[in-house]
Amino acid sequence: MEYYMQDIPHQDFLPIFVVSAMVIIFGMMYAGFFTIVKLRLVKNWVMILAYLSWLALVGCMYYLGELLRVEPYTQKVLIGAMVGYLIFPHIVYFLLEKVHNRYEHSEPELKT
Amino acid sequence: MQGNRLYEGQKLALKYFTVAIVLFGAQLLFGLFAAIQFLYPDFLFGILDFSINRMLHINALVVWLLYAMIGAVYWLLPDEAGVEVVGVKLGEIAFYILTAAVAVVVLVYLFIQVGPGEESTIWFITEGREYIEAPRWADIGIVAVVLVFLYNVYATVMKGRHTGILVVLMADLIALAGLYLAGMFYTDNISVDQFWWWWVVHLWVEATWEVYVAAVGGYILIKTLNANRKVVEMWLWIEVAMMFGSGILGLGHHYFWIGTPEYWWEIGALFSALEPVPLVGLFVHVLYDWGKETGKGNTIKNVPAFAWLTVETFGNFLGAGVWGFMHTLPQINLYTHGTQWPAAHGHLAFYGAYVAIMISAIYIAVQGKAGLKELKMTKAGWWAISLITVGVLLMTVALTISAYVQTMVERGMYGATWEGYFVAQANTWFVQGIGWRLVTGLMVLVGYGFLVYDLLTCDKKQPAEVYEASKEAAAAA
Amino acid sequence: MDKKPSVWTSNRFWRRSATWVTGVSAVLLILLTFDTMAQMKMGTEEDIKNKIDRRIPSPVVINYKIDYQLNRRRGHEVPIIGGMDANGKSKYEEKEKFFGRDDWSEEEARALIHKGKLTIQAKNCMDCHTLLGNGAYYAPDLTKAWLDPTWDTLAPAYNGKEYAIKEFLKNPPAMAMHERKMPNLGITDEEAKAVVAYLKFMSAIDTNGFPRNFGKIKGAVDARK
Repeated sequence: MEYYMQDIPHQDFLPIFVVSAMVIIFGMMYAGFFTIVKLRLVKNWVMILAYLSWLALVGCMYYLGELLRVEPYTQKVLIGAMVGYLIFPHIVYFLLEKVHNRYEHSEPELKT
Repeated sequence: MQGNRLYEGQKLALKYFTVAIVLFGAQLLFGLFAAIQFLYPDFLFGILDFSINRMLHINALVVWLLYAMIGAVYWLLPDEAGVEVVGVKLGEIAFYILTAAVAVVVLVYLFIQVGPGEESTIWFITEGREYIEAPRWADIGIVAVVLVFLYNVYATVMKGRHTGILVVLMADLIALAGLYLAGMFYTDNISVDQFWWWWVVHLWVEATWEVYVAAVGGYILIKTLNANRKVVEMWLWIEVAMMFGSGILGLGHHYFWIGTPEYWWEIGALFSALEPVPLVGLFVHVLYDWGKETGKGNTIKNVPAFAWLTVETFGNFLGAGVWGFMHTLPQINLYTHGTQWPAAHGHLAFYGAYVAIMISAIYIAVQGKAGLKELKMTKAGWWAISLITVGVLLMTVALTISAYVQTMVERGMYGATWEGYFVAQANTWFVQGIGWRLVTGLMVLVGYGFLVYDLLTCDKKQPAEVYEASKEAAAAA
Repeated sequence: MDKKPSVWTSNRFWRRSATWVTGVSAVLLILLTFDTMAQMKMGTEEDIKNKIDRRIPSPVVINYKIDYQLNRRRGHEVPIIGGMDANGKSKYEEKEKFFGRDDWSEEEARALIHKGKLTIQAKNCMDCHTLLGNGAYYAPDLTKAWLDPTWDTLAPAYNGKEYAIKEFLKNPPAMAMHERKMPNLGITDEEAKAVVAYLKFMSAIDTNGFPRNFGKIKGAVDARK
């Protein structure tokens, strides 16, 4: 039977904290590269870096899962989170584009 | 904004901001005492013990943020609604009552400190529950003052314009005030006690306060970048959906070990993994706006306010997002719960998410009070933002090193006994981390000095073209 | 505006989404709260007689020997009250004298922990210590303080660890264990006794295995063999 909580040997604590920080930092790099490419602030090839960041993010998350000895439920949560992170900046950017195009040239109603 | 004319509500806001900044200073001072005691336990022993310094440190934080939050609402309320604040006299009386009550509570904390183990202590001296130690009489007073505040806000919005920012704030403030009631009762059952205690603490800082920040942040974006209101308001609703969607059930990550059923593990893990999502959204949004605006060559109307807002975006992401995620999954939280980890996370998260944006709002008020079209960053302003931000960041890194040592030694190697606790506390690396925390704390205190100086003088130290532009604008109007 | 605006840019759509998301989350939280509250209700003497495990047991557990052992089925440590049976469950049989008695009635025990909890709040314990892991990090965690091996070493000199803890609480600097002393908070004899009762009661709360491996290395309560 798979227990929810497995023992963590003390030498694993450092890698756990490092990779869990890397998870979010790569996530931020992915979102950042993605947005600046879409805004045409940098050349298109930088998009490769965005997706490489996402791959690194998945790698870190996998390693984190291994270190934490997660059981199937948390595995599913983590996989879901990875797919979510892949799609999320696309959604945010899509929405921002839409809304900016709609209101770009119309004056705001409430001018203070 | 027309020249120097302020709404009465905005004058009241300035009073709230003044007390907020004073209490911010008190927070840093007592934090410093506590940091010294970590290294030299005999410092002020028996006079101001660690528990008292620590209580004043966190209570001053909560209270000054609340003062600044109320102040910021009184500032933007007449501006957004386009009418004077209704019941501003009542608001003023409430301000003096609240300030007097805070003064009495602080004096009792300082000079009476602890009471006998009886109900009367809970009523008149301290409730002894981290963050909401205020005695019950003060709780009731706070509720009364907040009711006056809510009345002011609702009555003003009813009379004036219903902007999206105001609608979000109205809904959020009522939730924020209502949640405080969850922390106002006594029970012998410590698990039930902590269960409701988290309703106040978590649902404030990880839900209602976050939404408050999103709303005020939207106002600051409009003021500093001239951002499109429609975009800001639509985005605000998306942020509300994401923050409440992840934050409300994110409460689960506090219910792993306090006697609560196991299913909170699953709920806490799932919603904790979601909690960085709104922060990533905010990050992409600010990056997008900044890219679009620089493309158009727009100038920033209030540089210090915008700079502090930028600190807010990154600080919130790093403090709440990165440092939160590092120890939030139950598998690792089992070892990090009750160590210096939450201290490391808490310092950067509170600073990034709340302190930075409240200072940003205060700079907006400084500009409005002086009636300037633009506000540039002064030298002192740069020193303040750099020293405080770098100070808090380094403090977080120092505490993280201590936290890692404590987790590994006390929890991993010694099985969480008292002996393990003290062995970990004596570890060289742990002590180094705590030492650097004191150094970085001093850095923040110096930065605070610059901040106070800058808030008082920056309107008089602007480059000449700022005054000319403002004069021209005044003449044209 | 000639084109029909997309729903994605509709303020109304997002306002409604935000309201629904908030509402559904709040309702879920409230439903879960009802269930959690039922499970965290403090147990009674009756439960102990019937050997029913409660997450928060009746305060009469102060009459029993309390231990903290690995439960194979749950995969973590659980409090063991009054001895452990072959399945790793509490037997509620083995008694242990608490201040010379092992027949504290439900009423007496409740009065004792009531006083204890009031004292814990009145003396601001939580701003140095952690209780159930929450509080400040200046002094050790008190969740399982009753079971800490420190007290086993001091117990013989005081005729039992409850007496040792009580004496410590009444004047901590006199029995300082570390450079980082606990201050004298003016705790009376009656209050100290009540706090000790609360600590014993708290060590019997089922915390889902927190703290992990308690005393594993130094063999506090021979948690893991």
